Amino acid sequence: MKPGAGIALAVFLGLLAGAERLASSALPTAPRAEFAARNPYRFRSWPEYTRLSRPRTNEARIVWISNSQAYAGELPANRIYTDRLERALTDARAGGYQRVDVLNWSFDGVTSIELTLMAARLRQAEPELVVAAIGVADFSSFNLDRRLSGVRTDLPRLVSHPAVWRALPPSFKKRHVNIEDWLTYAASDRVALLRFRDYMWSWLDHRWSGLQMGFYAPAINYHPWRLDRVQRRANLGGPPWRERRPFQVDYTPAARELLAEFLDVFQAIPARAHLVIMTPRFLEEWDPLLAMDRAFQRDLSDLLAERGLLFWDDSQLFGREAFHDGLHFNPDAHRAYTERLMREIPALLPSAPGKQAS
Amino acid sequence: MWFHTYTYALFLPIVLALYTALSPGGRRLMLLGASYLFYCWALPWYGLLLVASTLLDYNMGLLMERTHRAGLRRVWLGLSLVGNLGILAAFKYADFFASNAVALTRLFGAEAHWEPLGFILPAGISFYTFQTISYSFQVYRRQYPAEKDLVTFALYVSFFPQLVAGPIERATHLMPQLKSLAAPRLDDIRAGLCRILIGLFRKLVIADRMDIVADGVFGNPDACSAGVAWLGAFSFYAQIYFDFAGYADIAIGSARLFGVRLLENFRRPAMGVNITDWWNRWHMTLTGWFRDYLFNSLGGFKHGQARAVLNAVIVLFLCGLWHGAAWNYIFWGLWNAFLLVTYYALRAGLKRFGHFRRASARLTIGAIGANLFVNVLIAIGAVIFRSPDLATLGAMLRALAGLNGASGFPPYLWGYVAILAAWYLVEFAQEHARLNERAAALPAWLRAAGWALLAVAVTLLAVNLQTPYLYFQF
Repeated sequence: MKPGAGIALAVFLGLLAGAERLASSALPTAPRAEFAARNPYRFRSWPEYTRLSRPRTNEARIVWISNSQAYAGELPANRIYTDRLERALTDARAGGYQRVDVLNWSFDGVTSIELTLMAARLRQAEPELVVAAIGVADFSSFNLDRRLSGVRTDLPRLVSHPAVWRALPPSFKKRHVNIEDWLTYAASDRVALLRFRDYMWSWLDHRWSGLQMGFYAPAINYHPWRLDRVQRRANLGGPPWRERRPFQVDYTPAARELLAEFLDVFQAIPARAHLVIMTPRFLEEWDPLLAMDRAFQRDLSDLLAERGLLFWDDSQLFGREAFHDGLHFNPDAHRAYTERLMREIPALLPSAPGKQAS
Repeated sequence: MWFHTYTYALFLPIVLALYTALSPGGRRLMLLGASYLFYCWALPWYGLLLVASTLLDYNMGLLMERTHRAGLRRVWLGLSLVGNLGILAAFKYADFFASNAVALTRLFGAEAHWEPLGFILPAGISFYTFQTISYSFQVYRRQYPAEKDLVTFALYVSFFPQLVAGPIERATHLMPQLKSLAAPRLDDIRAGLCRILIGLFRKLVIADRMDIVADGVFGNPDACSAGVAWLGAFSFYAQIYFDFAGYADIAIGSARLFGVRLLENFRRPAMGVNITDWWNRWHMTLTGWFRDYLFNSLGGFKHGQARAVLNAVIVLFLCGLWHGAAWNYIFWGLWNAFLLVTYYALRAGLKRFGHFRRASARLTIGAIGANLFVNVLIAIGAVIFRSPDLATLGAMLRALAGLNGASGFPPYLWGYVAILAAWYLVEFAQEHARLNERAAALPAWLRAAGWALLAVAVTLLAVNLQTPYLYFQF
């Protein structure tokens, strides 16, 4: 190789390495799950979030896998029921523990794919209690045809981790994972520059509203980053052709397969106790979602009975006044739901070493 | 397999490593295997058609070579054409022609019915059938001897970099290269990788970005003001150019890694100063194919200007049909034929206004104006090409004329205007200021820095869409 070519190659590789280093340092660090009421980046920057340290003696851990109801993006984090529950359990010294962590692994728009991935990830953790608070919208039939690249978080990066891959059932891999997706997520898991792109466009969009949808992701097929500290400079407008699509749920008998698959992986989490909750909602009699919701309720009840898992059907716990849209709680309902959970969750926690459950 | 995927990013170095390790004979066989793997990645049965087309033309070539009787040679050529075009007709056109025939029959009150065959169009079928037809013509015309080695011939038909969307090669150009596959050279690898990077930038950063506007405008033209509609038209023109040129870049770059040089497919089409000049810059291997095997076969320029124009109209009609079995493609072909006829009719008069055949010959305001005007006409053609039905076409034309009542131009869309302007200015600089030559004269380290920045730009600016190559569907 000529010396000039060698220098050119060194310059090329050096600049790429520099860009990778810059991207890596520019990506924000997610708070550790133990200290955050929810992941502000919806599982982005998740290595910090999911690298679960073992709780200290006299500390218990509850992992809460759920959807937009527990993510509650519209509320300050300390008003979400999971955060309230954590404080209430700790104050009550539930199970005799000095501290009870409720790790809120929830985000809006969650799909069966992400729920199953989270459950597979938890195969490596040993929480005292693992809770799946789920609803019909999380198991839409669309997900039967959805590939990993169709989900809106970067949780699919987990498939490139051998332990998670092993924990996923073959049917899941066959349905959702192809070589291209696997390679895509394996690359983005290891190269910060690839992850930085999403972050950069979200950052730009916070500054100049409209940039992201206008130039990067017209049909937002992922969650933009939530960057509360970035100041808005201007609104660049939206496209005149945009049509808002209504919220769609499609639970068919075939979707039962997705539910069964998730519950299998969920059951295999080496937690000391498992609980499945059908999340509260309020649906009018005329709402077409109601029939699907009832079918989901039946399927969930049957599948849990087959597996012998503990099930709370909270679907009809509250009336219309508890919700701002039939699915998501008003602030007061978060408080009320915490009280409902506090009545029964402490009994599910195994006793701390050498203590009697309170 | 698509070029802009991680699968291809894994596939290509593996094939290159195997290629480097093997003997010349082994290289051909390995490339053939790799090409079939590449082609059959999505649907394995696609490969059967490729095998059928290969065997047909291999044997017809040998038969044409062996006989000196002109009549018999014509028969073998005819069989090759019937076989290749028959495959194309069955998979691409049968449903279209049959359903239109049924509609026409019903128009006259007769009862008719056609159950659509519903074949999935095999990727790249229009490209490789044209390439094999080109081979048959070249053997028939004694421009190239029939290939005796089946592996070499099969590789000529299926060479993966150019298999699914061209460039449409000629036996005289590609076959000798495939017969003497040499070990990769560092210069070829460097040039190939740089070309691939340019292709990725064109596809992922520009073409896919223009798709955002084109898709939005064509999806709801009634909501668009005239300004937005024109932007949509130019965005689609840019999209299809950068998508296809980006594909060609990656094809040419990938082939270069193996020391194979493919034909160029585009030469700065935005610089076209008249319709024939534009066509000489756009999809050049297809244009050349139609010129050599259809236009010239119809008599070309031999029988006067009127006949030449008629021949050109026929060619452009069939060129439209080649793009797809749908009326929009036919109308697009006819639109180009109309432009061509008009151009020939007005050519003498236009010259008085400084409208030259080549802008580079003399850069004048008139030439630049003609250049911009040609691009407007091509953008109107792009509207016809992109409109899936007459309703959309009508709505787009109303929007372009400012007749649908919509108003406004959201500020962010100026970003797209800037991209289009940058496209024009870069091609202008390449055409008139020897931009490429000047860049090539820079020190190696500076060029390397430029390539690194381009790689980072591709990573950061790529659009979050999974858009397939547009020309895969043709």
